[in-house]
Parts: sequence; C-alpha cells; structure tokens
Amino acid sequence: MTEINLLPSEYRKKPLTLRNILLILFVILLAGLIMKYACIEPLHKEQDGKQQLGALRQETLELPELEELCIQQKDLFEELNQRFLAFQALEENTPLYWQGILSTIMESLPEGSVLTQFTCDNSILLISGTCPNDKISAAYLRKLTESGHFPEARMEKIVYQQNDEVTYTIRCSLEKGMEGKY
Amino acid sequence: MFIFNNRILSVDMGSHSYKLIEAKLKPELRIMHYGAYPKEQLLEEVPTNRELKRLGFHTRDAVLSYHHSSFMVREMHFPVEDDALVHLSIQDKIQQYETDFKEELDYDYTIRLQEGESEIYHATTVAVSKSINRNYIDQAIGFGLKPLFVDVQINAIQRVIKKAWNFDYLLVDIGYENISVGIGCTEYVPMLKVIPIGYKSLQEDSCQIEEILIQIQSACRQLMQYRRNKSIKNIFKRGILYGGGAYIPEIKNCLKEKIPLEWCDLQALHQFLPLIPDDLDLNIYGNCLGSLLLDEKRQQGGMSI
Repeated sequence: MTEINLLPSEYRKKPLTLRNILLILFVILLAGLIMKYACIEPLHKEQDGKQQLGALRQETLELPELEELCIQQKDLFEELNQRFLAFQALEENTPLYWQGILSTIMESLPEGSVLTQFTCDNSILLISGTCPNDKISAAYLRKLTESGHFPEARMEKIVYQQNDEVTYTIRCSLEKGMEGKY
Repeated sequence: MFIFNNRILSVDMGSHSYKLIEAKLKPELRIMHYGAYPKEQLLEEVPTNRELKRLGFHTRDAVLSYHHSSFMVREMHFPVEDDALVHLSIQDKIQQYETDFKEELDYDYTIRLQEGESEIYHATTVAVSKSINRNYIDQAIGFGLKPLFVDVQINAIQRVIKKAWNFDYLLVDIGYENISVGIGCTEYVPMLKVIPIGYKSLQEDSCQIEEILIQIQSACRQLMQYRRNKSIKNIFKRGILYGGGAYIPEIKNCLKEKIPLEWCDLQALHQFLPLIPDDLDLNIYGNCLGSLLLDEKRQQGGMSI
C-alpha cells in the first residue's frame, strides 16, 4: 500500500532530469575552471615569484664574496698593467726607437742648416744649430712638429748673428708609446 | 539533499504545541533529539530556522503532520474494469465534495484489491481543506524546513500500533482543539470522525465535560456500528486512547465505563518498541513517531527512506 501524502505536487521535489544533470556538470566544470585560473594558478605564480625572490636575496647575501673576487681581479689587472708599462719603458730604450727619432731630426733638417748640439734625456730633446736666416729655422721647427713624433716642439732660444745668420735651440718633448710605429 | 542525508525531522503541528523528533533512519531508526514546544515559541521567534538549530534540530528535511476538523477519510469501492475509470471516479467524488462544502480540497488516495476479493477495488481517500493544508506547509517552510511529506495522523499512529499488535482497534485521540475517533486495523483506516472540541474547552469551562463525553461516546458507537454493518469478521475488542487529553481521568473512566472495550493508552506500547527512549511519552509523541515509520514505498512520493 502506497502511503497517502497530502503534500501538493507543486511543493514536491522535482525529479532530477538529464537537463539538470548536464546543467550541474556544466556549473561544476565552470567552477573548476574558475578555481584553476582565478585561484590556483595565481597562487603558483606567487609561490614561484617568492622562490625567485628568495634566490635573489640569497645571492645578495653572497655579494661580499663577489666583491672580494672583484678586488682580486683589480689587483691582478694593476699588476699586469705595471708589468706592461715596464715592458713599454724597456722598449722605449731600444735602438730601433731612437733610430726613428734620429732619422726624423736629420731628414727634417733644412738645407743650409747645421746642427751644433744635441742633448737628450728620457723626455726632452734639445736641438741646437745654425742656419742662414730665421725662416729656415722656422721651417725646421714646423717639419719637426708635423713629423708626429713629438707631441710638442717649440723654439727654446734664437740668437741673431751678423748678416741674418741665426743660432737656434729647439725643444722637443718625447711621446710615450711610440714603440708601435717602429 | 535528502539522498545524502540520513536524518529526518518529524513535526506534529498540534494546535497547542509542536512536537518534533529528529531521527536517523539507517541502519535502523534511532531517535537523536526530540521535544515539544508551545506553538507561540516557534512562531514568534525570528528567524525560526535558527531557533530550531538552537533547540538542537539540525536537519531541514521534514515530514509534517497535523490534525484539522476539515480532514475527511472516505472509503470507496469500484468494480475492477478500467483502472483509469477508478481515478476519474475518485476525482469526480472529490469535485462533488468541493461543491458541497464550497471549499477547495487537497487530497490523496490509495487503491487496493482486498484479500479474497479480486473484483472490487477499495480506495481510501483522504482530503483536507486546501487553504488549511497550504497554511501548515507554508508555516513549515517559514521555519526553514523542506517538507517532503504531509502525513495523515491516523495513519501515522496506526504504524506505531502495528509494531505491537496485529488486530483491529478503536482509536481515540484527545487533542487540544479536536478529538479524533477512528477505526484502526492492520492495513488501512476505513473511517475517521473528528469532533471539533478538545481538552482546551475542559480547561476553560468544566461544565462542558458531559457534553464532550457524550460526543465521544456517540462517535465511538457510530464507528463500531459501521464496522459491524460492514463485516462480522475482525470485530475489535480493544480501544486505544492517546493525545494530550489521555491523562484526563474523567475521559478515561467514562470510556472504560460506557464503551465495552479493553482500554489502554499508547504508553503500554513501550515494551514493543525497544529502540524508542523510555522517557518519550507515546501519548504525546505517538503521531510524530508514526511519521518516522513510513515504509520504503514513500520513495514513490519523492522520498528515499
């Protein structure tokens, strides 16, 4: 015997239809997607970011070692530079270097001019000579300047003799690092 | 969702107080919590669903039962010819009642073939005023409950008695505003009579007790006569008194004196119901308990107990 139920049909629970089942599945799927893309993935990204930040912080903490390494390398560089300068200085005193200087002095000497004195230390050359007039001595100074061997060349002293003859002294400073040209 | 919920709340919406029993149904009926509360306590609390939780009732799935003077139980007989004709005939009969009483009705019915009679359908129809029925249901919804079933109290009490006795009996439910007299038998309730006076009127004016007793006696005699006319088999010998008014000595004594049956109240059934707590008063909670004993066929009505 089925029991008598006075609950009207409009109050009774509706049976679960296929449409409702599909709707529920769709809602569950949608909720899953929302959960994945709105909650889970951002959380993962946040965790990754935190891990990276942690690694960077760790590296930052290890920085004094890098600084020490940098100082060591700087010291090494300084040492190598010193050795290089020593080698360069050694090369400046080679005969080949001085042959180039001498050739320039002689080849630039104008006709009619005679060198009377030549003084040199590691940085300064003093060239003294005589010539028939001051135009020739000026031409010599110009040629020496234009030769490119001397960063600076100037007339140190000029003495006028009788009949326009002059005695001159030219001061040339020697350039460092000219060894590549010889 | 009830499929996943093993608990159910039975609510007897009495006119004086609401009786509630929350029970687990599987693997066997287990009463979890029960209580009787004045109607006003539940109705005045806002929101009531919180009030129910506060009182210790957690499930929302509910079986409701109530009693009202507009209840009608009718037995009808139809020849076994056309099943559809039986349903149409019942609907016609209900429409006729609606016209006669000038009131819309909510109704339900059962149809069966009586043992040994293969040619006649017996239909038991229960009808109640539509507005009254929906008023009770809406009230339950207002409490935050999900009504799954509206039970008929005379059927509910019959389920309880069936656990103990397998013979026919006369039932008298002395309610606060109504007194119901019915014939209970092993399979169905063929007749129910409602007297629109309850023990409330006794509290108001003691002079009316004679009148009430006369009405109860009259109803009992009518039903007994009806039963004698219907069948000479299974003439009942026992009368069962229950409801809040079962403890009124005048009524009990009067019935014992005037109606020649062996009278007892529902508390006598405790020995047959080992799962029911001893302190649960069956006279008060009988209807409520009976609604928890609905059989598995309830599933056809949308429940899965």
